[in-house]
Amino acid sequence: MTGSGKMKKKYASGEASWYMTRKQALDKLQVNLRDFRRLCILKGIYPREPVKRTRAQKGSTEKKTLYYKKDIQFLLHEPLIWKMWDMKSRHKKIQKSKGKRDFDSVKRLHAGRPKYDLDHLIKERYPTFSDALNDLDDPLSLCSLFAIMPAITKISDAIVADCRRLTVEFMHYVIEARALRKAFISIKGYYFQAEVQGCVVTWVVPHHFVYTRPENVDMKVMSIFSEFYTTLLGFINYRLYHTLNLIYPPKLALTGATPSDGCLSTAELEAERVAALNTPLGRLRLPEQPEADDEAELALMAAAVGDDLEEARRRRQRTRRLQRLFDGCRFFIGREVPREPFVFVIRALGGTCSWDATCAPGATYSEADETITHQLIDRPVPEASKKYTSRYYVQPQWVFDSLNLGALRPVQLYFPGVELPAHLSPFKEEEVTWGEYVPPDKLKLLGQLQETEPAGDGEAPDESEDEGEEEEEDDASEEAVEEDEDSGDDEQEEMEDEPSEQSAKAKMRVTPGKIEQVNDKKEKIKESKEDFWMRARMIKKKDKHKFYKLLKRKKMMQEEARLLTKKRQVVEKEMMEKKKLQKRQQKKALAQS
Amino acid sequence: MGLCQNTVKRFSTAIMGAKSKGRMPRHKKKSWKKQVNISEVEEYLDDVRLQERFGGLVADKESSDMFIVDSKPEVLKPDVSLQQRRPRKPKVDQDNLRCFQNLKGLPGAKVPVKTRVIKDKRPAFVKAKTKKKKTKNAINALHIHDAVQKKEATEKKQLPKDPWADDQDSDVDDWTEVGATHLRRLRMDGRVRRPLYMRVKTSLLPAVETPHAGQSYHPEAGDHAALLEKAVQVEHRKEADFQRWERQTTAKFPSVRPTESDWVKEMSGGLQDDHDEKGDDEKSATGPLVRRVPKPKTKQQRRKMRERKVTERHRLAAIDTRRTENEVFRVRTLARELREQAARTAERQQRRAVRRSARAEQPLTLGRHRYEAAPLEVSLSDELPGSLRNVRTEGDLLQERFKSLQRRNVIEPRVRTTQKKQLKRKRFDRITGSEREPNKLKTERNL
Repeated sequence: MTGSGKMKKKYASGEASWYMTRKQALDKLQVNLRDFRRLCILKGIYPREPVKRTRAQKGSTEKKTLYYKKDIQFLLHEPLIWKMWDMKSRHKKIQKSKGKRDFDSVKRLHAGRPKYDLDHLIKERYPTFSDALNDLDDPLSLCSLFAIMPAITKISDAIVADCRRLTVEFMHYVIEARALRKAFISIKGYYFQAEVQGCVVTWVVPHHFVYTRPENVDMKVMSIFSEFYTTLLGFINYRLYHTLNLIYPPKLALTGATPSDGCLSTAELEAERVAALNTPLGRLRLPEQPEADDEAELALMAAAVGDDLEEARRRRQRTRRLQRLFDGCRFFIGREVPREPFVFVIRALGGTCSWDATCAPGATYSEADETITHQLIDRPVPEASKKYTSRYYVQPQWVFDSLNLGALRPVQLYFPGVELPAHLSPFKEEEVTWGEYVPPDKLKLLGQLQETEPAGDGEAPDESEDEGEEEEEDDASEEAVEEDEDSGDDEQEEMEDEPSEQSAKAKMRVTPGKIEQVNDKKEKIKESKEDFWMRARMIKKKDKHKFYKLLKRKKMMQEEARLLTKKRQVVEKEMMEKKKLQKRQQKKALAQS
Repeated sequence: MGLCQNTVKRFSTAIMGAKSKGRMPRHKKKSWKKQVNISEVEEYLDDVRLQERFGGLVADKESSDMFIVDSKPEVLKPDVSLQQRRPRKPKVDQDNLRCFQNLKGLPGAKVPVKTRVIKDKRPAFVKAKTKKKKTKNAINALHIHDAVQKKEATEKKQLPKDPWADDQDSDVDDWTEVGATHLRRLRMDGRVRRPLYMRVKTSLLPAVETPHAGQSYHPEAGDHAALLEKAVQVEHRKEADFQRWERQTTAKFPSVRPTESDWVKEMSGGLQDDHDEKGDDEKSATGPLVRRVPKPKTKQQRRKMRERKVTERHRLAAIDTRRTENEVFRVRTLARELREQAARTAERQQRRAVRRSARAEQPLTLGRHRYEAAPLEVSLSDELPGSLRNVRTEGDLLQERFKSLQRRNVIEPRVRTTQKKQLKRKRFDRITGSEREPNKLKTERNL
């Protein structure tokens, strides 16, 4: 003990001084727990877990809720907290008047009570627009949940109406920007995925069934979240609309006289028609057509993501095709089909749709319209109704499956009464394949096999095959050898062909010399193969055994797959011949009779 | 050519259909000339001249000179309502209409007005009172005005302003200029800057977790089986947990209720084996009642003990010096030990890092209560509908959102607490004759 300085106090520095318990925070901020919770949610301040709890809690082992001291100090500067103090004092006054049964002053005090807005928090929490876009999943999901809340809940009508309006606005944006990429019908709800200005946004919309009161959910907390999210979504929608030159608040492009309705006012009916998602929105200016040749931009994008240029191009092609998937298709949605999600998907892919005018506002054409190409029907076709030969009657799943495939699926699989193919999840991650045998039925389901039916688009399968090829290249093992041999054989054949043709045409002729063509693909394969074995040499001695085992397994799998495909071919051939024979016999029998 | 023919045709019909006028003879050439209506012919000729003046006859031209092949689709017509409105006429100033100027009197002459000042004869205190009232009214009016303005201001604020308006230009290629973005983030006008660590998300989990493929409303058999297997695993884990708790609590501390035989045994205790217990009593009676005190040590004993201690200390010191001297020969071993220790530390660090990264997906301990996951949403095979119309929903999305917030460490898990106010019951003691006291109010706590 040489130092003459003060003895250090315990818990005065280090981890113990970083944290504050919730109770301490309440005392410091002079607010009650309810207001504190509200403040934290609005400002984006979260409880923290210390590295060592006993140290952070100054010796106490109880599990307390801790906050960063810095966070609480930051909260002290928030103007919102002044409002909360005002509100608190006003609340006290109101309670006092109530106690005195002075209801006039209660009314007066309540009318002039202080209110807060959250506009300044948006910029603070999301300094750039892309920050806000990256955090869009939560607001959208929660708002679409609140949008279907009935009036009986404790949530105020204004919030519910706001949530409904904002989600509809966002869906309109997705439709106008053709930003929808994936959709999935789950037992929990509808999942959608859109690409908004390069950000992937995933959200979930509940099934529109009878509302059930959620259990074990703190609705007060959720309503605070919804308060913040509605503000955020409002700003985001505003900005998104302006990027497309759309009028905000949304207005329909068609300005026919809105048909007056007995129960609804014109404004309400207009809002309903906007919510129907069925008509394009008015624009201030037509959007500029993107230049067809923006290769440089594409290359930059690819470089930023760290992708192959080819890959980026292919992906862009796919999205462009997806954006025009339903161009020229006119749908009619049966009344038994949930309208909103289907209208959303159809319109987001360029189709037009309508429904029975008696079931909801916003219908544009009737069932009798001869130009309808597809009718969504989800019940046994009624005998009495008139059927049109000019349209396909399909079950609604066709729409979602086509979107996820990126091409129109064959309609005959979805005719009413037919047992539907499985509705696959577009969010399922690709499994690592060993080259094992996949039956062609499953490939067909995945859309990786070219459909023989004329209704299919036929473009997408091509692409997926290409992708498959690329994957094989990457593997660069046994397949590489096989491909190598294959391509070599091809070349030899070509070489043999050419001289014979030339000799036939003109024997004595001076032909210009040919540049020796370097087979890029071949070189690449060779190189990647070398790379692979170089990498294989880097494997540690103890893992080597496992590695060779895996290689062997892969080889076995591929061999098995080859055998099975061969077997299938043989069986199919036999079946075909059998069929032919049967037909022939039938014909013979007919001729004889 | 078609155009030309058409005109000629019309010309001829004009001639044929010309109506006669009055009494003019119809068979004379003169009257024929007079009667005929040649205005159309003239028109036609004028038209031809006009066309010749502006680049030749239209009829002679190739259609490719006049028309453009429309290869592009027709662009969407902008909305009718969106066309710009004509600027409004300025509002008419009703007070200064020119036609009513004269009513205001001639500009030159003015009627002389005598101002008569009537002196306020009221007493001073009355005047003061009225003045006070007036000022109060004025202040009130001001307040009302303020309130109205405030209301108007709030109404005006309906349309949101774009908070990101200033990063409009650089927003498109944000990823190219990281520095600019960073600067923008740092800049806060006048307010306290938000600490940068707040930008780190509290969890790595996505906000909306994508559903399992087996949760499709019409799943593929394999996916559905995988989901069911997952659900079964969850159930197994639950069961195992329950078993463990049972083993560690109930099974460890059995609270066996006394059976009838136990009762009989207890009641008949001391009836049958009386003498046995007596024997025990006797034995215990013979045992030592007092603890034996050891004899004090002699001087010699104490000295020998001291000497033994000294020699022992010397012996240990010698061993120690020998060991330290021999450490030199252990250099290699020591080095190996150090190496091993370092390796062990590294391994432990790695293990810790792995554990930490595994924990990143797990919710943190943020309060007294633990996070409890919502049950997995599964529809059994017989519940799967054939069509979308008959789909049966599973799970509660709002609950899932709530749990997701908890799981991502945004809010701490809590348990709903309902405070029940327990009213104190009034209790009175029965007053017996002997202890006659004034009525004593007793609460439950007193009892």
